[in-house]
Order: sequence, then structure tokens, then C-alpha cells
Amino acid sequence: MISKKFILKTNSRGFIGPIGDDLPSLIPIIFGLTMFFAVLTFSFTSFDVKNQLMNFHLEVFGLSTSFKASSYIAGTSNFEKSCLNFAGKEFNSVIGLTEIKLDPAAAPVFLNDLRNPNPPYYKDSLGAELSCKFKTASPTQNSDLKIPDSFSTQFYAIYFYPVAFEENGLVKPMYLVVVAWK
Amino acid sequence: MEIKSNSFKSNIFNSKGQAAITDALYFLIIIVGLCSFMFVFSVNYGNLLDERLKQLNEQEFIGSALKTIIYSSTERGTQSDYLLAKLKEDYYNNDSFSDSNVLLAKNIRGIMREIEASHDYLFYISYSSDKEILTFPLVILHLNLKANETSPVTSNFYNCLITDSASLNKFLRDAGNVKPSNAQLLLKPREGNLIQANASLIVWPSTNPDASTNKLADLNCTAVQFS
Repeated sequence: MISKKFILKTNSRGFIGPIGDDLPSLIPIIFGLTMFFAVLTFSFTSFDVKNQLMNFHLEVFGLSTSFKASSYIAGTSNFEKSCLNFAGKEFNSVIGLTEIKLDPAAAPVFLNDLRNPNPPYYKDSLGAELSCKFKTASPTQNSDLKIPDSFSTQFYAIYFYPVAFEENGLVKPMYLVVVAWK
Repeated sequence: MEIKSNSFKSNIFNSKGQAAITDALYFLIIIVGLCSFMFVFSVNYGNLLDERLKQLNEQEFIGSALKTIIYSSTERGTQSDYLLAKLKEDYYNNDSFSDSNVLLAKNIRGIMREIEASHDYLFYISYSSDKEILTFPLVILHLNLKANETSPVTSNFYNCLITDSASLNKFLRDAGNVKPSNAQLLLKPREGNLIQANASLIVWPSTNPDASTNKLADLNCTAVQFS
């Protein structure tokens, strides 16, 4: 006759208490939860950065296309007036016109290096350089602002479009170059 | 009977740990699936918008380039005039653009220079005749080509004589991802009424610079001489 006590004792082999018994199952649960929260944090950070980046690009693109409008800039005063669209924005910006050489042997302005666009800006008949520079949130121009040699942030945008610039009755093909960064 | 029942209950209770670890593994599998989905989604988030913005920017560039070509001035002796005016005058005098096509090609080349290393393009003026057949009085084509496998890719300009739109359509179909921009203009031949013509600039990435494929077979092209 096997006693009830003996059967219970036999079946309790390896039993180390209610928590101790669940200990192996806690390892994958804790690992899973850690992984889940790590990926969740990464995703939210990534969404946030990408949203900011997209908003930045859309804003600069919108301002650039509204600056060039019909691709015809009628004189220096119109250029300067359009520049004011970039004033007070939450990024640094340099906007300028650079002349297109029609000589077939001329080299490209940017030499295919758009990561460091520092083209020579066009000077009008009075010798004024056709460029405008705005520091972050500045309502007025900051002539000392320089485009960095390389952008240490992914928050930078460079757009350029051919435009026709009218000066003293002559319409010259130019590039409107917009560089913006945070 | 009582002993059997107790033994059964005891077995059930003591298997609790094994069930818990299986549950935990299922939980882990679900978490891994969820994390993979979230990771892939967050990495790809915004790529579509980026691509769309790039396309919009290219379209803006092409539209701007066409307008700049049309608006630009050119020298006429000691004075200057719109390039378009010279083109119209040339068409009136010659029923063709024979005197102005090199000047126009120079202008187009200058304006498109920044992207010419990576893109091919086609500029043409066309109009529909009485029989609704498209006529192409002016076609300027830029292609990046290399003469053979070892030679470097060079920029080439051609004047083409397209006799039917089918050959042009075939050429553009083969070119792949083309982006067009159009502008309307009026031409006046020496004899006859005003013609409603269309100036088009079509740009596409130059992906196959191999000259041996003879892309120009149906277009009757001759190289532009920039002198």
C-alpha cells in the first residue's frame, strides 16, 4: 500500500517554491519585454526625427518653389523682396543667383559636389552680390553667415533651379541656389 | 480510487512550471514578430514621401529649365533680343530653325549642364498639321555615350530629323523613366496662318551609355557642331 504522503513527495521532486518554479519562464518574458521597449523607444525616436526632417524639407522646398515662382526674376529689387520669405525661419539659409555660362566648354557650377555648395554668386550692374543670408529666427539678413564646409547634421537641404533673371532689359539664365540647414 | 485521484491532481500541479515556460516562449515569439514589424516600419517610414519630394523637385527643375530656355535673351548684333523671338524669325524666314538651332543648343546645354552627366534629354518643337500628323521642325537630343567598353562616357548633342511620332515614342519608351515639361508657343510661317506649336523638354536618367545599341537608328540624327 503506497501512502498518500509518499506519492506527494515523489511528485514534488525539483519543486523550489511558487516563484522558483516559474524562474526559467521569467527569463524569456523579461528578455521579450526589454526588447519590445527598446524597439518601441527606437521607433518613436526615429518617427520623431523623420517627421522633423520631412517638415524641414517640405518647408524649404515650398519656400524655394515659391521664390522662383514663374522662373522669371525681374531685377534685383524683386530678388530681395522674395528673399524675405526666408526671414525668421527656424533654420539658417543662404539664397543666391549664380550665372550660367553658355560657353560649351564651361565646367558645371557645382562640379557635381552638392554637399558643399559655395558657388560664386552673381553681382549685378551696381556690384551688389545677389545673395541673401538669414540666421535661425533672424528677421533681418546676416551677411557674416557662411555655408559650412560639411554638414554635421542631416538637417540640411539644397535646391537649385534654372531661372531667368532680367537686368537692364537683358534676360540672363541663372541658377537659383537655396541652401538651408539647422 | 482516492489515491489515484490525488496522484492525478498532484501531477497537474507539478507540471505548472513546464506550461509557464512554453507560454513564455510563445510570448517571446509574438514579441519578436511585433518588434520586427515595428523596426521595419520605422526604418521605411518617410521613404515614400522622400521619393515623392525628389520627383517633385525634378519636375520643378525641368519646368524651370524649359521656361528659362524660352525666356533667355540672345545677342543680335549690338543689341539683345529674346531667343524665342530669334527662333520665330528664323522659322518665318526659312520654314525651319536652321539658323538658330546651334544657338538654341548652346543655351540648352548651359542651362542643363549641372545634370548632363547623369541625365539625357530631348528638346523639341512640334505642331499638329491639318491631317493631325505631328511635325517636328526642331529636335535637339543630348545623350551620354561611350564609343566602346573601355572609353569614357562623353556628352553628345544631336540635331534629329523625326518624320513620324511613332519613332519618337519608341525611342522614349526605350529610354525608361522620362519626365516631360511642355510650353505652348505661336509660330508664323512665311505663307499660311499662325501655328500653335508645342515646345517640350523631356529628361530621363542616362542608364545605358553603350553606343553600340544604336539608339539613334530611327531618329536620323547628326552631331551638333558647337563652333
